[in-house]
Amino acid sequence: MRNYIDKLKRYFAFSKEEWLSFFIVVIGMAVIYSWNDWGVESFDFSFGLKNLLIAIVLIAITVFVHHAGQRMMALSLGLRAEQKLWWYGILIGLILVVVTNGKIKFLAASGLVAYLLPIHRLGAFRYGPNLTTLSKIALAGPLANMFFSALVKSLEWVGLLSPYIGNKLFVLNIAFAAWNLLPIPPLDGSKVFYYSRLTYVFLFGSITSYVLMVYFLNFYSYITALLIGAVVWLLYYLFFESKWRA
Amino acid sequence: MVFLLDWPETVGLLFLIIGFVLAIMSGNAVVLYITCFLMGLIFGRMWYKFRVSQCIPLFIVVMAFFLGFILGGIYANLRIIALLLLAGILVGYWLHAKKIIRSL
Repeated sequence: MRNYIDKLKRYFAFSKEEWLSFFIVVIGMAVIYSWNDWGVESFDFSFGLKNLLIAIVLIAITVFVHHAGQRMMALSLGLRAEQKLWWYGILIGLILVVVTNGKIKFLAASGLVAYLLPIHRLGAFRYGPNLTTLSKIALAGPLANMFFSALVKSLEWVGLLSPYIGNKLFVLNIAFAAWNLLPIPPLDGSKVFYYSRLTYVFLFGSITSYVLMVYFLNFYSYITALLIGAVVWLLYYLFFESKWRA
Repeated sequence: MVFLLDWPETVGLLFLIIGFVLAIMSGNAVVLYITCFLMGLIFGRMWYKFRVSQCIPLFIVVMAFFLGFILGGIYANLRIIALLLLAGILVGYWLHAKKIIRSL
């Protein structure tokens, strides 16, 4: 444990380049996220600016939780995770939100790069980073967002967080996790997908079903989401994977 | 047609359709111009990345997109579309060339 805390102290900090990427990602995604909040019936600049500032804070928290989850997982595996801006992602998000007038909010604009920390990797099975390690690190981001969203909702229910902020942060975190699990390189989902299709299907089924249950049924249950994910996994295995492997 | 040799035409066709659909979906001129500039930024990044290895295919792709875009946005000013696309490409390229943005 002391070794892990020491690693956190040494390697957790963001570099200057990462802060710049973080800043660009947060601003771009805040514009996307607050696109529909620039007035109720007509354009209202002060109202929109207030919503944009709220969105910047909420997005910054969400992206930080995502990055922190990946960095902590990477350090536990003897690697250092670095976040890079995904220029295409941020522009595709902006184009989609402009063209659809805010109906599609694509919230994925960063990718993960893992570097080896040789001295912290001594004795580890298969010295270099491989798909398994990369997928574990990548997955830590969306999972951190999911657990953080549950924490936010719990705080809201016990009255420690206002329902307005709590609900926004909750929805933002699960939407961010779901978008980042798409199997498009360099998003997190692609790393899990390349590692194992079956694992990807299970996770995608679980997280998507959780998001859909929250949106449409107002029902919050990780266990039900995991069960649905298992059913999706089984169906995928029976109808596709078993035939490909045969 | 051999795909390995003729892929730029296929990708060009795809971008022509993308340009046409984006222009149709834009609905009004202002949105059309913003979309055009943002697409220019994407092409700027592509230009920077493939400036040595794939500049001819990239040129075909940009031209195909431009054609699709002006076909879909026939009501808008052609000169403004062309200028904004060019400005987007230049800004996108400059941001990457000066290492202001280091993207994946």
